[in-house]
Amino acid sequence: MRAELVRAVARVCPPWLADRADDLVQVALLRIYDVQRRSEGKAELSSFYLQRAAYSAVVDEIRRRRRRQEVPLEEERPETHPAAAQPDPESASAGAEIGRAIRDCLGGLVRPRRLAVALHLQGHRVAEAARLLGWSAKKAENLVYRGLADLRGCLKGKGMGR
Amino acid sequence: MTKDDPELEELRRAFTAPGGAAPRPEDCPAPETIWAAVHGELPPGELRDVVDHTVACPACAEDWRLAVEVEREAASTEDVGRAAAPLLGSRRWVRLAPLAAAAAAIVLLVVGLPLTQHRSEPTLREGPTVVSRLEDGQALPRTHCRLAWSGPAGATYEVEVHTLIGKSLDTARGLTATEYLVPEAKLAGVPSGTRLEWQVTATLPGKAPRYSSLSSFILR
Repeated sequence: MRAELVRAVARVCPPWLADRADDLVQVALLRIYDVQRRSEGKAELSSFYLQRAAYSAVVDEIRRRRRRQEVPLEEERPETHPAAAQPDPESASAGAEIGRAIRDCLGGLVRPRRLAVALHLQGHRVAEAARLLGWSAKKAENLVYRGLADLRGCLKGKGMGR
Repeated sequence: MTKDDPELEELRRAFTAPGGAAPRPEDCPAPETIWAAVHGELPPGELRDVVDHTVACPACAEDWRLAVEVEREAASTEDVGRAAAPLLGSRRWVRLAPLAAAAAAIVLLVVGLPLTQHRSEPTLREGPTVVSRLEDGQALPRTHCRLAWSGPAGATYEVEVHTLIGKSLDTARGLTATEYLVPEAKLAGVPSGTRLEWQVTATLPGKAPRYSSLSSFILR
């Protein structure tokens, strides 16, 4: 189980937290043992469960560091892709500004479009978004399409679109 | 390539860029809740509240993205295809490298607002079991638009082809072969040079579906 948990933590652990990976495995293990103890050994320890435990341990640590403002900013994180260009601080700042503008614009969309576009921007394909939101694929597709059009219009109004 | 390609890529990166702070940390859903939402374990009403929260909270948007990445990785490494893992695992990162570089170049050249892309270390990862056998961004002629992938034996496949804004062009279900020729008629009206995305879902009896990573090709 520990070996599987090590792999699960490695999947989710960002490079800048890699030095804490062993500790995070330990945290996840303790939680699993606790759940096992409370369920009197009846809890099913599936791979899925171990992945969730690893995810929770890592995200809790990220949040803890966020609170203490120890999370490196985008431009300060180690670049793990040697071929990718390193942005200068001004560009990174501009990127952050786009992120804020997107959130602001999404906040102004009607809710169904906002939800559809948010999931799409998170990398979910239309069929996945439809399944998660309990919609038909056609409805999700329309909402993504129209929501992205709204988003573009809003960003353009902020001088960020084309 | 349509004008939407770099724009959507940039929007996605900006929306999920790491390093954002939570405006009201006390309101953030627990990691377990985000995990449950991403895995479809929440009722739609509750899930919508979580998605709404991620719109306002860049920190939770990052947590959500992390859960999506874990889900994709885990789904693609589960119990099948382990024999092919070392090769596929290394191929995956080789395949992603030019894609990331190209995406960064597009943003730099066309938009002028570059963002870095956070990537995890490739070590300790295993290869996906549903994997495109095409180079990402490969040009395909509309008269012979053949998509190919590797996947678990005995699976049935669903292939979805869509534009970068999510407009579905073709969905083929119940495939048993690991390739699919997109009918030319389905691509009518799509200009040459357009980048399209495709994804394969593999289903084995009694098992959860497994998704390939989103791949893209350029229609010629």
